[in-house]
Amino acid sequence: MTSEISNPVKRLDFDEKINGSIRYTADMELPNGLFAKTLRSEHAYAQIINITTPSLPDGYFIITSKDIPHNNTIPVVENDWPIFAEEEVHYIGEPILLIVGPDIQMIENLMDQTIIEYAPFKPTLTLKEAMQNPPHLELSYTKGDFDHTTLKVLDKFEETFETGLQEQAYLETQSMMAIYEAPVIKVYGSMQCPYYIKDALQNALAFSPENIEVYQNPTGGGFGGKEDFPSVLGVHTALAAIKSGHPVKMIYDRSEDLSYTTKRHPCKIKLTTYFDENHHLVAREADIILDSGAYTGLTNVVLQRLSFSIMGVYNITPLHVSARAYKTHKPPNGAFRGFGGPQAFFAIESHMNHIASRLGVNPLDLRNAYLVKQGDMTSTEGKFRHPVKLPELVWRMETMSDYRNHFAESEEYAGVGISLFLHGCGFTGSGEKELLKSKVSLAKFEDGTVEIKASSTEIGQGSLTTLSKIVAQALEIPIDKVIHKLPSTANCPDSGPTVASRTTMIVGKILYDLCGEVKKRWNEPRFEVSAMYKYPSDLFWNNTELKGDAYPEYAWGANVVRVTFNPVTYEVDVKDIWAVYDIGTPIDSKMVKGQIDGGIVQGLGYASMEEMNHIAGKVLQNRLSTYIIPCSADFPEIKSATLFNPFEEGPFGARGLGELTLVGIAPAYAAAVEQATGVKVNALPITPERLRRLIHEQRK
Amino acid sequence: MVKAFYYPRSLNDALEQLSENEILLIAGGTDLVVKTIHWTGHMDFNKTLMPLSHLPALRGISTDDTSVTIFAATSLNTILGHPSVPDPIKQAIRSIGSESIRNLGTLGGNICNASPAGDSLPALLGYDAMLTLQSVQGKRMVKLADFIHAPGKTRIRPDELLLSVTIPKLSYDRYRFSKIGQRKGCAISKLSVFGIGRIENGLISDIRLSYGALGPVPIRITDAERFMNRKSASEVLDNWDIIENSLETQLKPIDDLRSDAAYRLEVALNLTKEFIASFTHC
Repeated sequence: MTSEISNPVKRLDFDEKINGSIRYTADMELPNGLFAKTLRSEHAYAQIINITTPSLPDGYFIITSKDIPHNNTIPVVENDWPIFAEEEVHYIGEPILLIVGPDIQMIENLMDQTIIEYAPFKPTLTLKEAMQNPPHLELSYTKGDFDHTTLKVLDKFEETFETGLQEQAYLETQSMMAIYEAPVIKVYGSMQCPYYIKDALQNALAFSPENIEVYQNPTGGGFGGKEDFPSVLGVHTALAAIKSGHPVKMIYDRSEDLSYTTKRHPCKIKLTTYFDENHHLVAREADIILDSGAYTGLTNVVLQRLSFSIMGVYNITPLHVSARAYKTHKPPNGAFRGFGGPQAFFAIESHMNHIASRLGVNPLDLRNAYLVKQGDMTSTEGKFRHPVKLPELVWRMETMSDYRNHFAESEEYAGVGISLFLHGCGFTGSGEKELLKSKVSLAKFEDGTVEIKASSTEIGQGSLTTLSKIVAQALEIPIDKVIHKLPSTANCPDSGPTVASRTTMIVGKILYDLCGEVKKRWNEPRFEVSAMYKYPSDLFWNNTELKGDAYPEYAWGANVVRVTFNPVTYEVDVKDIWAVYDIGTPIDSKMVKGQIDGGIVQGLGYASMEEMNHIAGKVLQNRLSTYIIPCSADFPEIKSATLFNPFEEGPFGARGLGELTLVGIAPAYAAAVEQATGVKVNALPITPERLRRLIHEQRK
Repeated sequence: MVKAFYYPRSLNDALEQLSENEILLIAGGTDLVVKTIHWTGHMDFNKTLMPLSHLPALRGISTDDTSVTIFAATSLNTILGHPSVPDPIKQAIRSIGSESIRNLGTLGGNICNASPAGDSLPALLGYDAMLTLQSVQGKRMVKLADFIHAPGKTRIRPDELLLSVTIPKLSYDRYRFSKIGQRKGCAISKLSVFGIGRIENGLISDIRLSYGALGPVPIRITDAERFMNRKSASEVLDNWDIIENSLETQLKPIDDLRSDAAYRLEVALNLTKEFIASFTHC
């Protein structure tokens, strides 16, 4: 069954992206513009003793922390992330100053002539070293009553999982430009969250809000990498534009972007499952450790999502979770599609497989015995309020992939793996209610066109088209009567950041509801109406106790991966990929497929080949020739489907999608590799080199 | 910054320039540009740049009864489309970069770049490729095996350019080129193994084994070849420890950010063994 709205339409940004006429920040002419380049720390941890700057030719400027009128911080959640290092540097690559001028070659010369003297300290480079000191973030919660004295436990099984860094590898590197037209500062660039940059500018400049305008330029991918980080470039270019009196542009080159921008958090998860005398899974504990890098950034929110996702899709109660994050002298880690989910589901789903193998049962049978149902408690003792169609999801996956036969009759060096997973749609905790308070507007004009005003950004995922479709269908007008441009803080209310798989479900829903009002007033020639997100009244959240509904709603998925293993080269070849999702109503089947295919391939890159390491605080893989992401030849066509399960609180029944497609594929891949090789794999990425080591260790 | 750029009108013009000035030759530039480009978009060359790919005297493929000669600035895709180029060589060239890189990149570029991971090199070594170098003083022939002596370093003189590569027409019953990269396309080799040989009266004959991306330079292991010749595949496999010792001491695999030495060595050995095993099925 499908809805009419699922029928694909031509994307609003299709022509300009296909014919190449679209102009990204780096392509834009900036009359009288200057270029800004960041001079970065060469030490992982040191005191800055002295800075000797060269004498500057006319038209060149140096920007340091002294040029910041207000706070020298990037406000994310905690204010520990400086705009420029002042007295100390905390990672290799930390910005110390900018050199700004008309000629980039001259800028490079001036950078070479700028001498920073350091007094180095001993840096903390690994999680192991970091754990000598207390964590900077900590949380714990218990679902149900975890009392060791009353639990009837016969046996327990404990194991540890590890995952590494992942780079977002958006096609367009971080890019920003600023123009100062006193008293107004205007910032334009590649971004997911215009209002985050506005907040950062306000915090640094102490300008009044009406004198700060942030505009999204065409953005070549984000994947979370343009959630928090563009604030750094936003403030840097603004400071340079204000001081120089010229427009200023800053474009990171690929190596700079790979080396110093935020990545997915490396993680270590210990899981303990308790069994009773009937081999039932009666309780579970999780102990989670994250590497934050040098500053907090979004780590506490990632830590929360990871911790809340660790129950998986299983009702195994009681569940006790403790989680900590430690700082190391490496670039701050941050947002990346999935936001803790990929780490959690790699651990929990692999753990379920290992339990099934210990108990000698089919991995799917073990899962089926513990699936959550509508009305069950979430990890944080909220409620799964809406129909949970996991049995149907599993059935669809079984029939589509023939999983059981593949599993039972697996040939030598072939394997199949399954994963079941969920993703909380929207901000964690009461974020949607307390922090975001999303607002959108619709303007109706005399000619019968309607303009969408929301700060949600188009980052390649298709939100311009998706939201237009929702409005067009709700108003029953053709989509070409809907105007939807890239947002700015000057023209659009704050509909919240473009993150957390929230744009379609939450922003789309406010727009959908608002269309009712527009319809009623349709005969008026010209008007504008606004509305805010209505937080469902039956949701609650206690942020001190971490109790309640951590998310407004959940989307669900199942993946099956079939592989073969080459014992001569230790290479794994993916033969089949199947994916089924419950995302409610797909708003556009083609764009949904785009998200599925992209998310799965990005997740398989994480699972199988993307590796980033630091030596002495310096990143090794700092080019796309050494940080290897998948290409089209690596994986076969993905066979995917969606369930029909409209979500009553979503626009036309839609749930969140963007991140769900990435979070579950790594454990399915890992399980397939385990069956094909006969070894246990508790760490990502599963490179041929890692497999070789594991096979030698485990066959001893 | 580019100091100067000289666009030669003919091969002789290019050779004269080479005899008088310090010059950096470009034959495709697919590796050179990536290696040299700065964040500023500029490239730092302290020599005059001279492109060669447009010179007719450096392009094309000629063939006679015993050999094929590929002129140095012939693009990789042109080579792939030529009927006289032996399939084992084509298989190696097909594994280089992407379609667009193979359109621009040249065989001469792949050789003179002298990368340990140059994917044409193991096959050319296996074929005993001869290089013709030319300067205003004339031509000289050098074996490819003697030409590359360190990563990125060759025995070409500053006044010389590589004119052509001559490959003998080998008869063979078995050949294999295996390239291992982290992904299936656009990959830089972690290791590569090239093998080619004949079967005479059920015995291995004229086998050649060469290896890329393991150590500082692509290398052919002739003592292992000598041990194998005039033996059956099963006899070689029964004495595998001898081959293993020979390869281990000569391949000198390295740890780097693409792979580790232990993986490289073991997989090179495994692929070699698999290739030898293919001689049993006559």
